[in-house]
Amino acid sequence: MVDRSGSDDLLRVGLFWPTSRTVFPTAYVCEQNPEALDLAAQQRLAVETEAAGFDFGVLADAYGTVSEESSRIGHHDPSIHAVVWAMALFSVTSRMGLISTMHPTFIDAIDLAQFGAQLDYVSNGRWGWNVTTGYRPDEPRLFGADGLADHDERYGIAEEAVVAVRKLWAQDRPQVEQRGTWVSLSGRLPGPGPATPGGPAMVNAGASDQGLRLAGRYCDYLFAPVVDHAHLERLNQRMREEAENAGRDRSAKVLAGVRCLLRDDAQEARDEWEVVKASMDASKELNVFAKTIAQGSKGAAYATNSGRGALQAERKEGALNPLVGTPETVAEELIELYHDHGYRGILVNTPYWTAGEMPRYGRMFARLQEAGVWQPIAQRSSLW
Amino acid sequence: MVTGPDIVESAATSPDLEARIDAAVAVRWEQPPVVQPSRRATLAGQEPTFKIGALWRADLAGDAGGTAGLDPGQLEWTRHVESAKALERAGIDYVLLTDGYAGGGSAERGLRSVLWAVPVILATERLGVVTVLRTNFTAPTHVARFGAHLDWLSQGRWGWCVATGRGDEAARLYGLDEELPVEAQVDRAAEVVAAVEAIWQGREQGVEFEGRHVRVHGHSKRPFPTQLPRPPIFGVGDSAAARSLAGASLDVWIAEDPSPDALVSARAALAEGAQRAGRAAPRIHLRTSLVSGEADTALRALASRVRDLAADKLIDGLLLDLPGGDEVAGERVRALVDILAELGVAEDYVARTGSW
Repeated sequence: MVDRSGSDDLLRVGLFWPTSRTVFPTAYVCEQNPEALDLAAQQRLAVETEAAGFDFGVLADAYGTVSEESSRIGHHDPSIHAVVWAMALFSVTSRMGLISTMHPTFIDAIDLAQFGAQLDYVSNGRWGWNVTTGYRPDEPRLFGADGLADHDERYGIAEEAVVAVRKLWAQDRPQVEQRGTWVSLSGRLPGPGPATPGGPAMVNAGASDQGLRLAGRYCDYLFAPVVDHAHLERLNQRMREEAENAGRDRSAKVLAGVRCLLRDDAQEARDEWEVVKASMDASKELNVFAKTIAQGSKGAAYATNSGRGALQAERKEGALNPLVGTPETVAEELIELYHDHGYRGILVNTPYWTAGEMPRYGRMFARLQEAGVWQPIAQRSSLW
Repeated sequence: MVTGPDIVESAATSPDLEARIDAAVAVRWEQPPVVQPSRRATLAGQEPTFKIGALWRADLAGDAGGTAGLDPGQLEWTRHVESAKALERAGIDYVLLTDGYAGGGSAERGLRSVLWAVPVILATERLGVVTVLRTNFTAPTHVARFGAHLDWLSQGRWGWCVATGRGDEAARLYGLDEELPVEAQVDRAAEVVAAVEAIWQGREQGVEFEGRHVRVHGHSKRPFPTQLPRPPIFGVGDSAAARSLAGASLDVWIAEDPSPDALVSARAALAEGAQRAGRAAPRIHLRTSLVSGEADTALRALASRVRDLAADKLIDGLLLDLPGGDEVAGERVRALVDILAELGVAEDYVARTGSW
């Protein structure tokens, strides 16, 4: 699977990977999940996720802690390393993609290119890069900076790094000469080139103007906290415009982040969701995380999709509501999102990753396939 | 129109659900997550026994490959796995993976150590896995974090081999015109080592490190290494500056020159540096080749030389350059291990494999 042309118009469904014990800010959820660094649990999750039908997993990553309260319960700390652990997850899978977060603001372009090329090589074209500039104010201090660079500079670095990396990934690993404001290098990509012609898939999670531009010009996916269907249409339009301006023959798919909870019984799912929401409301200290993000460049869009803000957002008409129900009812909702509102990419964010959670999604994918909106990876021309 | 469960559901919550919600809301963090693995190696407890390591080759399995371009077969996961298992079976203590920037045509092949350490770790249970991370190019936070995760995955079998740069060609890939003079590189390496140690020690309080070359401030997220006080640190380099760094901070120094005079001189320099730093001197592992097709008599001669150097307390271990071909390499290594055991350089390699 080394094609990233994405020639079909089918739905892609990824899993927002549980890189920490919980990515939901709640002690209750955390208590029920495996340890983030339990290799057997992570590999079991990978096997179950692939077997269910997920197209890929997105491994978020960061360096610093969020807050003392978060660290105490395992919310984003500890977490798996998106590059090192991708190797361990590739070792037990054969079809599913994995997208690792790497920050061009903290990692040299040549390292980004080599790590990416070798992950793509070893996985036979199943790896992708989530380009993230970082937003946590204290994190750059771990790398010697005084604080977070301003938003324009962060995206300046990201764009120059992306350009350099894509040149290094080109076929036959050509000599690259780049003298940029932030990223300079001279040489060829050492070691193996990527398995994917033209380089691995790329994702950008940007809500700002620069973020949307980066995604539209260079990436295969824009990961966005879509607030409502009108928002999706605006993002789709922007991706089409950026692709046209950049002379690309297709535009980036919007990967809408959606919280999801499946149970065999619909009432059981709704009840469990109420419990999860109530526990998030109760974990007020943990919402420091949502505030931190809201203070960053991503602004209100993330604030409404993380923690307490999301609880209000999901009640709005036309909002992209959480997908809560049986595998079959959730599949029907996705089919409707596909046909009526133009959704082509969904990134599932689920509170639980205990054994047995992922197999329920297999039933959801079976229904999606039956309805003709999704196909298993093996039956498509392109993973991405 | 897609309707979420909050819109669909209008029925009042049942008493049962209310009880569940109350229970969920009451959950706090009385039980902090367990973040230490069940097995913990300790550097402090390492046995003072003779150690044998092998320099990892991507081409261990099968032919050495062509000299131009790239042999994809060398990058197959299964070849790394089989090579790792063969070397563990052969009874050695560790493998050392270098970090590559070669454009092609050499055994190094440009493989990045922290990635290819993973299949080696996953395929083995006792083998130490040492990865080169270059201090000219790798920020302390990255070294500390890569190391912590590899140490975690291996449950205390990871070590760091400090290296500086890889020549001007590699420097240019990082946007530099050329490498700094050796002394300046080693000066930076010493700071990176100190900063990495500070990060690992700052698991509770965070780190405040201010050097001439590197600065690190703040709290790194977990994990931290499982080995305490820290994973072993290896080093190479025969300059006075490199020896000084080794004496002051490292656990194993890899000697390239096998002459007794050179080893005596190195031992003295390392001891002096260690004394100044108030710590135990690093051990010396001699890098030597295990040539393909070497006759049994030649292998015995090598083992005898090693025995003599060990008996004179000039070396504490070997780092083997292996011939290509995993079967051959595994067999030759096993044969050498057996002869060394026979000569009394160590009592029983298989029995103690797995400790640093």
